[in-house]
Parts: sequence; C-alpha cells; structure tokens
Amino acid sequence: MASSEHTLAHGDESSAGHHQIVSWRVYAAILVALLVLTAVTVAVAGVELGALNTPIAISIAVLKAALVMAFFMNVRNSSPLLRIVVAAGFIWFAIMIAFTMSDFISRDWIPNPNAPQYPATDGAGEAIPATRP
Amino acid sequence: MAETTHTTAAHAADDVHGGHHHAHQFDSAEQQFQTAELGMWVFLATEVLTFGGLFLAYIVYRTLYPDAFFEASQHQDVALGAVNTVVLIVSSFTMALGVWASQMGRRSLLMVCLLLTIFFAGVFMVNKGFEYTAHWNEHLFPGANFRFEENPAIEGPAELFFFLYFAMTGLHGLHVTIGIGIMLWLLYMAYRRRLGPSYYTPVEVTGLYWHFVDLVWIFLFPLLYLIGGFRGF
Repeated sequence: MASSEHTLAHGDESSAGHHQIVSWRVYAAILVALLVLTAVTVAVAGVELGALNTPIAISIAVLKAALVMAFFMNVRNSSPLLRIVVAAGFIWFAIMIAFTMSDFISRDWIPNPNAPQYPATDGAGEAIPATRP
Repeated sequence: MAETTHTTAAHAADDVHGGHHHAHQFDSAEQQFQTAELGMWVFLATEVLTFGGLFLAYIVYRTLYPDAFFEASQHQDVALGAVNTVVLIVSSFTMALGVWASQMGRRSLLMVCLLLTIFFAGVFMVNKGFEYTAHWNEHLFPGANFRFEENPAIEGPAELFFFLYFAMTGLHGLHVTIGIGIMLWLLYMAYRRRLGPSYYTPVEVTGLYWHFVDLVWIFLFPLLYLIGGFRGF
C-alpha cells in the first residue's frame, strides 16, 4: 500500500485499520470492578493497619487507574507510539517524585551544620512556630 | 488500489475508510483519528505533570507533618467523598458507553449518555460546593481566617493540608467544569447529526480527557479523605 509509509502506526494492514469497537459489556464489567474496589478502599481505610494503610490505599488506586487506562481509555489496543507517550508522562512523574524525595529523605544522613532544618527555620536557627504569631 | 492522487484535497471526498472528509495533510480518516488521539495523550502527559507537582508537594509535606495531615483530614466528609468517587466512576462509564454508541451509530443513545455524563459531573460539583461551604464555615479555608481550634499547636501544618486540599480539588474541579462545557458542545454536535460511525473523533478524544479527570480523582480520594485510621506515612 502506498499509504503505509505515511501512517503513524507501523504495520498498516494489521493494526492501523479501523480500530476495534469495544463492547459495552466490557465497559460494564470494568464499572463493576471499579465500584467494588472503591468499596474495598473505603472499608480498608476504616481498619487500623498502622503503616500499611497508605500503601494499601495507593495500591488499590493504582489498580483502579490501570483498569481505567487499559479499558476505558483503550490503551491495551493502542499503537506502540501512543504507549510510549502514555508511559513518558508517568515516567517523568516518577523521576520528579524519586529525585525530590531522595533529597528530602537523605538530608540528615550526613551531619551538616549548614544544612537547612525541617521543620523550617527562620534563618537564625529558630524554628518557625507551627502556630500563627 | 491506486493511490496516486493521495495528496490532493479532492481525494478526501472519496476516502475509502469511512466516507468522512479528512484534512488534506492526512492520508486517511483513520490516520487523522490516530493523530487526534496521540495529540490528546500528549496533552494528558503534560496534565500528569501539572497535577504531579501538586502530588509532589503533598508527598513532601505529608512526610514532614504526618500527624497534622492526619488530624486535618478528620474534618473531611468521607461519605460525601465516597459518593463523589462513585458518581465520577459512573460518569466515566456513561462516557465510554457514549463512545460505543457513536461507533454503533446509535445517536439517541449517544445523546442520553452525554446528558447522563453532564448530569453526574454536575452532581459532583454540587457535592464539592457543599464540602467547600462546610470547610469555609469551619474556618478551614487557608488565609487570615484559618483556625484549627482543637489543636492550635499544629495550625500551620493543618493549614498546609487544607491549602493542598483546595488547590488539588480546585484544579480538578476546574477540569470537571471544562469537561461539562466540552460535553455540551458534543451534545450539540450529536443533535446536529455531525457525529456517527464515520466520525466520532471528538467523542473518543473527549472521553480520554474525561477518564483522565476520573483518574486524578481516584488518587485524590484516598490521599485527601482516607488518611484516617493510622498515623504516619
């Protein structure tokens, strides 16, 4: 086909034809799964699990987000180019979190009398009071 | 299939892929669709980083002030937040159903789906209005009138929590409001019979935007409402 070299997705004949129509039944199944996961996350939040509560809540949110992206946003049927763009957004987000937190978490590993202290100080070594003056 | 006149605008009129006119810079309506889809995802990638900055601020300050964030979050209406989560998830479903309806050429179903999605988006914003009003009346809006009376010692960090709460849900609410506007325009397009199996790009691309708005809320809900039950990050 003369047009294949111009299309965004490679493999023109197989993948770049009319993209598949996803049945409403798939959307309905995902809706039920998302509602169940919402109920689970609310229920689990009411249980005292100490430091485990937040990782569980985030894991459920990630699972819900994956379902929304794969099925509602149909990323599972998308071209490689589109997947790269999708991944790029989240990879850059992960870099931003990882670099910032690696700084915040490691600040007091090596004693440094000149390092800024947290909670924030007013510059003269006095901690800024948590309350409004 | 001879495609010798591919670059001429006249060729667009007899596009073999579905009968819809495509702009002359595209080979086919399908390629035009893929370009629109890719463009929306590039925009959504920038949105990930826009909201990402706020999520980063949240992570930093919750790490620094875990107890204050816990106590401040006790002022959240978890039930109303959960209702809003369900409302937004259902609206995502009606939007996806609308895409399916337009692909199948079921115009009235598409219009019903768009109306339902707009309705749920409206319900979400009204609930948000109730929450904002309650916070305002409890002096929990950041600024000169902010008070955290049950524990004045952590008033500063608590104010930080509510600053992030209003910034994150406010930016999210702005997206919901813009979504309502776009869906009203889609409704008008469907009413004028401009959308159907041969051309549903606006429905699908708006759907991507709307699901992303849902995606952001899926993370905002546990982070801003469900801190309760433990102390620490």
